[in-house]
Amino acid sequence: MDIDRFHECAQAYGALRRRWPESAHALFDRFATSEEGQAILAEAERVDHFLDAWQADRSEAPTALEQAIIARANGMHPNRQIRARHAWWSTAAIILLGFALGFSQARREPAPDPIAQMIFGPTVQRGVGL
Amino acid sequence: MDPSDDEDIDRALMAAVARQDARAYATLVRRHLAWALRFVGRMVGARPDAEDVVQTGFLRVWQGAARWEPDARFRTWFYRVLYNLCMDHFRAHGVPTDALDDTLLDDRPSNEDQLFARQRSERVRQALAALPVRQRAALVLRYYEERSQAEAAGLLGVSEGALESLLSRGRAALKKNIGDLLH
Repeated sequence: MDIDRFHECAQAYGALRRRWPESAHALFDRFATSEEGQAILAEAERVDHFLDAWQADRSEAPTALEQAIIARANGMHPNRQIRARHAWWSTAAIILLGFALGFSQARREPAPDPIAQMIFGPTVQRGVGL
Repeated sequence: MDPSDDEDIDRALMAAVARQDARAYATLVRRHLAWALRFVGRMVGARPDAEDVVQTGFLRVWQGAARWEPDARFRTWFYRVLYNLCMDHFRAHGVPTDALDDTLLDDRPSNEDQLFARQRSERVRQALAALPVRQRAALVLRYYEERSQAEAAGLLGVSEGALESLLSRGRAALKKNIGDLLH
């Protein structure tokens, strides 16, 4: 642990002790107050100041983004997908059932009309094809 | 709040998210969206790109919660997810991501002696954006995000010594390029 190592750390981590790895804190404490150490830290501090000038966008994350993220996942909810799959099968089943009923109804002989029977009688009605 | 309490909350939320609990997921998003956006913003630069990356990152959380190992801190794990997505983003845009060698920055002379804070900030952003991706990532993680040496090295997949080297070279490149602004 010497001043060269102190210099290397300052070049990598800057002038603040908290940014140095814990394993190098003792090294920092040993040289930080020396004249040579002060000069090294002052040099590192200039780069720190430059880096500090970057004002990251600290504004709140937009609510719209938050909602979009949540909605996007919700749209992929497995339960919802299962429900959607069930809905598809249900619709298909209803349509098929409808066709089947319609087809069987069309083939069935029509029921005799009670009013025609009353006027023409059962035989005549069959004869006129009602 | 004690950091371990914070971790416990994340752990519980992730367990619920693994069961596809949408409310827990919403809470997790609210807890971590701000820093995730800040970190990715520092990495990729443009806000719309950062928002896309973060959205994809959270989707990975939703889809991968069941595979998440509870012994890992959520934040550390999510940093890695976001970092990997940033790398994907760079590759998709033709930015080399594995260059470890020093790249000199564009050394346009600056004649601006009195820069406003926003201009200065923009200059730093540009200077960092001109660094090789891994040097930039090392600086963002260690300097801005203040991740520990071990955590940052783990995220980047390098040894702690290699991380120190990335940091040194990154800072040296900045110093060389922006000497006129260092006063």
